[in-house]
Amino acid sequence: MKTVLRRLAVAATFLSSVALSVPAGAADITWPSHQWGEANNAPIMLELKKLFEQENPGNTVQNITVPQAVFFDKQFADISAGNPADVATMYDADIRAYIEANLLEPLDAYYAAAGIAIDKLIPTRTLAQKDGKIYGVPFQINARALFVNEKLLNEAGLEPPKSFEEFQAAIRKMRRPDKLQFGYATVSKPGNTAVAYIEMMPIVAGFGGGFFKDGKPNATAPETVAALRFIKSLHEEQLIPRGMEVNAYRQLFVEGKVGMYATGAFFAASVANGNKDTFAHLNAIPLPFPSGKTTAITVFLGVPKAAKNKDLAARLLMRMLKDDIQARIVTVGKTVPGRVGLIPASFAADNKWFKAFEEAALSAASYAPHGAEQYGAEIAKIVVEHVEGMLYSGVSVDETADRLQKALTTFIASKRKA
Amino acid sequence: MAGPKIATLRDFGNPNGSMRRWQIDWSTRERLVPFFFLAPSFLALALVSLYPMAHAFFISFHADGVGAVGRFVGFEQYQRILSSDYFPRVLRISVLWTVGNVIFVWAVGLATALMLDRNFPGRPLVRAMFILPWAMPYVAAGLIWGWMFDYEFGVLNYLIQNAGLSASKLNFLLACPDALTSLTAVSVWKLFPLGTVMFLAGLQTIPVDHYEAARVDGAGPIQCFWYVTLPGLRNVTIMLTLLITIWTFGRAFTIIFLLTEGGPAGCTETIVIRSYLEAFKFFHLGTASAIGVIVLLIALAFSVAYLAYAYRKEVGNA
Repeated sequence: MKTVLRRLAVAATFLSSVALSVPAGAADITWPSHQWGEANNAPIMLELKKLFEQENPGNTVQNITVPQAVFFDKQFADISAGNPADVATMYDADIRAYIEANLLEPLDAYYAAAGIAIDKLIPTRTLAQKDGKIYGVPFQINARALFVNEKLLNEAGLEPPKSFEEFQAAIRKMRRPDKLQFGYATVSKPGNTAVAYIEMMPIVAGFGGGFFKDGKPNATAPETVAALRFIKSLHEEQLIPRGMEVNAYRQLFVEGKVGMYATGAFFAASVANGNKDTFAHLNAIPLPFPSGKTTAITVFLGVPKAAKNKDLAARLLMRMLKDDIQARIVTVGKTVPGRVGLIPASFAADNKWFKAFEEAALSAASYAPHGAEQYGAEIAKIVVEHVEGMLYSGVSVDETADRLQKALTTFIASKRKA
Repeated sequence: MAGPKIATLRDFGNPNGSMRRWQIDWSTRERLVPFFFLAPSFLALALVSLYPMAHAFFISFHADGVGAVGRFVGFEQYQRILSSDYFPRVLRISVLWTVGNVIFVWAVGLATALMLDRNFPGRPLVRAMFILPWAMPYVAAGLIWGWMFDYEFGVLNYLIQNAGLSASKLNFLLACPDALTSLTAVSVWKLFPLGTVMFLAGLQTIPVDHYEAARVDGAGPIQCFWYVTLPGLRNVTIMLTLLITIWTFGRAFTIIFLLTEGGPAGCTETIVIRSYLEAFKFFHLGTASAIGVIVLLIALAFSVAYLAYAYRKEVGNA
């Protein structure tokens, strides 16, 4: 018995000495994200983790890689179960839904303490604001511009298009069925409504349209109908690769089989890693659609109210907004960061394609339905189902717009009633 | 000199002993033993299956809420789902999907079983090859079929066009109802080995003298099949039908989610896919749980039929 007691005493002494050696208030900040596994984002996030841990001894950041396919489902399940991680990653519609459900911690005090002016953040920051408070940090904005492969354009005897008419002509001229070559690529596979909606929105906004305006359905607006007509023509004339996943036709661009593709600046890193020849001929221009408008997806980071280490997590997010990390988001991640005006001059000089994205970020509207952002996923499903009916079941453009308008009106009325 | 009395097991049986109440007679012990063996499995099932089911049932009576269970709404979720625009559509697609799977798994399974029941060189190897689809993981199979169906670069369109079977490319996954047909084909390809194995086992239980008697009576191969083989496989057919119905109705998810996610225009959206979308895309946990309960009830009806049939058969055999 004495031996057992002696051993217990030794163990207790050891454990208490270990506990005392850890600084008071030390914590593990949990940060699960699909972005830890992304070649362009992981180096920046690891650098932030390292700097934060050096500057806050005893505290650690747990980088938990979760595959993108399941990340948002898992995050929602964790938050719903009242057991969220310390840092949440959200896109436009997600952050609105979480703010409306009162699940995020306001960060105004942390912005003030870090000396970061909220009005110097990118314009889509407004998605993270409600009633004068801000609930998130914009990590990066992927405003849409048009990537062009100048080699394919030159082979077709063309210059980067400056108007919608030139753009249409270039799409047709670069289409070479014998070489499995396409002038343009956009959504072409049914099913994944979120991806389809995101891919479609730059075109719809580019025509000056939108499925929602000030919280009201807008599917029958002439601009929206014109955009739908253009999308249908791309399919019917087989001008774009059909039935392909987004990653598959992005790979076609990387392989030099697609001449033009509208997406965010992040895609340049994929081109650089995937095909040096295509990257050498890579350029980007503002979207050549009639209105000159574009859309963006913003990646927001926030701190859930039920998180265990809210204070530390908020300080970690503020650390991300410091100049050094903002510059790395540009140079390594090849995306526009949350704070405006921090693009290193040397990077801009070496990457002429980046200018189109930098400018787009200052004017782009969110891809989420205007005034009904929190219902983004449901609206995307309604819209995409109708557009798929138009593309794959022969429903006319005007009929699609009418049906869509009715469906969206019914939907938003049901939400208001609820 | 006698030392202190040491209690023995026998003492516990003493009517005056304090341990009397703990004594279990042999027959009771024998009756309890199966429950002790079942307890670990039951506990595991209760934890990972029964509790989530009960919780989903509980949530289905509450309003949709992110981060917390919403207010109690009684049967409102069920009423809303049953009167919604999408419910008849997803139910119809689920039924079509299930019926398609049952019919073709039965037909292809029976055809291959009849073929593999014959003696021919290399039969074990061919049998093993027919089992391969069953052994292949769903996700791998889904991704491979996705590329085979691809409109631009898929091998199926390439072969069809080169063989001159069609001048234009086929919309395997891009049109309605072609997409549901293609998905059913993949599911049948994945499930038919189960039918094959069950029918092979069933064929071997049909006595050879039944065929001999039929031939003596002048029956040809078709009559033998119709009057001997099919009746001989009646039990297997019923079991297989119920099993495939339960599996395909309640699990109409993986292949569909991988290949179309319910598109195009919702024409492959089953009730299970809808439940997933409601939960994880629209954040409607109450609605998703209510749909889940509806699926459970429908699958339960078939399960009860299956168990009743299995029980009756067992009693009949005894």
